Amino acid sequence: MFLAAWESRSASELLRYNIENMPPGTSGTRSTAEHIDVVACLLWGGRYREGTKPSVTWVAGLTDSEAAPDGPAPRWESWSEAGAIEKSAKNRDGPTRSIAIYGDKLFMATYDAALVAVDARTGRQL
Amino acid sequence: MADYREGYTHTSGPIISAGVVLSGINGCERFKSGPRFNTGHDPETDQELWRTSTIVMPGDPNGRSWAGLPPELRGGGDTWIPGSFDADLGLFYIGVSQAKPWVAASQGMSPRDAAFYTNSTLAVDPRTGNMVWYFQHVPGETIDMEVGFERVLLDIDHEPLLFTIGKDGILWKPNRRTGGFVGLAPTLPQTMFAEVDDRVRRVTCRRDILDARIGDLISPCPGIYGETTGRRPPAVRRPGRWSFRCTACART
Repeated sequence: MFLAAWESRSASELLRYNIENMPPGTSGTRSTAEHIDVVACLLWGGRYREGTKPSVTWVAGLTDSEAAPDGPAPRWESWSEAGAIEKSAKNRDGPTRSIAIYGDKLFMATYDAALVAVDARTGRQL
Repeated sequence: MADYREGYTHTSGPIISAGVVLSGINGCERFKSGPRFNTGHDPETDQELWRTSTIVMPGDPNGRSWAGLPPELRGGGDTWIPGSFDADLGLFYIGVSQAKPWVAASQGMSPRDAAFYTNSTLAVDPRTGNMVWYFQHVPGETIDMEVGFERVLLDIDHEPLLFTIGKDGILWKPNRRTGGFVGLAPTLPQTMFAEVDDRVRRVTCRRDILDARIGDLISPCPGIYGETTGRRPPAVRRPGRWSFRCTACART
C-alpha cells in the first residue's frame, strides 16, 4: 500500500522526506543511518517477500547515505574515511546522481574524478 | 578519469548502454590543461574505449567559435548530468553545460561567439564516441543559463523527439534521430531574450546583454539559479505528461 502511494518517486526522495520530517515534531533527532534503516524497511517490506531480501540496496543521491545498509557493502562515509576518495578532491562530500549496474558489477562516480566498479554483492572494488 | 588536482570532479555517474559504461566529467569552473570530455569504458576490463571532447579545439571547422582562445582557456563544457540512451537508434544523448567563466566578456569573447559545443545536446555513438549530431541550444550563452540538464526521450506521433529544458526555462524539442530543430517553447516569463522565435528556431539575447563589457550592469530574469534546476530531475508521472520543477515560482 505504501509503495502504491509513493508511486515512482525515488528512494532518495523518501530518505530526504524522512530526514526532514520524521519523527513528526522531533525531526532532526535521528541519525542518517537510522533514517536509512526506516527507508529500507519501507521498501523491502512493500516490495519483497520474507526471505527474498536483496543482498544490496542502494539509496542514491544523498551526501552520506548512498550505500547499502546490509552487510559489508560500502557506505560513502566509509569510502571517505578509508581514504578511497582523495581528501582534497572538490565536492568530496557532495552527492552523485547516478549509479549503474551491469551484471554483478556496480559502477559509480567519485569526487576525485574517478569511475569505480565494485562487486554489487560485496562492495569490493574490482 | 582525470586529475582531481586540476579541479576535475565527477558528480554525475555513469549509465551503461550498448555494453559500454558512458560517463561525463565536471568541475570545469577552473581552466584545464586538457579538454572536457565524455568517455566510454569496457565494463569487463575497465579499458577506456574512447574519449570525446565537449569543447572544439583549434583546427576543427567549429574551432573559430571560441574567438581564437587557446585550448587551455576554453573553460566550461561540463557534462554533469547522466545522459540518456535510445536502444532503437543506438545513440547516447548528453547535455553540455555553458562556457566558463560565465560572462563572455570576461573571456575576451562575445555572446556572438558560439563557443561550441557548450550549451548543446550531443548525440554520440556509444561504441566509438563519434558525434553523430549536435544541437546548440543557446550559442554564446553568457549569464549562466545553461542547458545541461536531463535529456528526456519521448515519441510523439511516431516521431522520435528529445526534450530538455534549461535554466532559462526554454523547452527544446529536437528530433533525436537527426538533431533537427522541431520546436521550442518558453515555460515561464523571462527578460534575458529579446526574441524567442519558434519559426526562426532560435533565441536572441537582449542587445544590452550581447554588447555588455566588463563593468556594465545588466539585470536579467531569471537570476543565476534559473527557472529549472538539476536538483529535481524531470519525471514522467503519468502517460503523456512530463513534469519538471520550476524554481522561480516553486511549482511543478
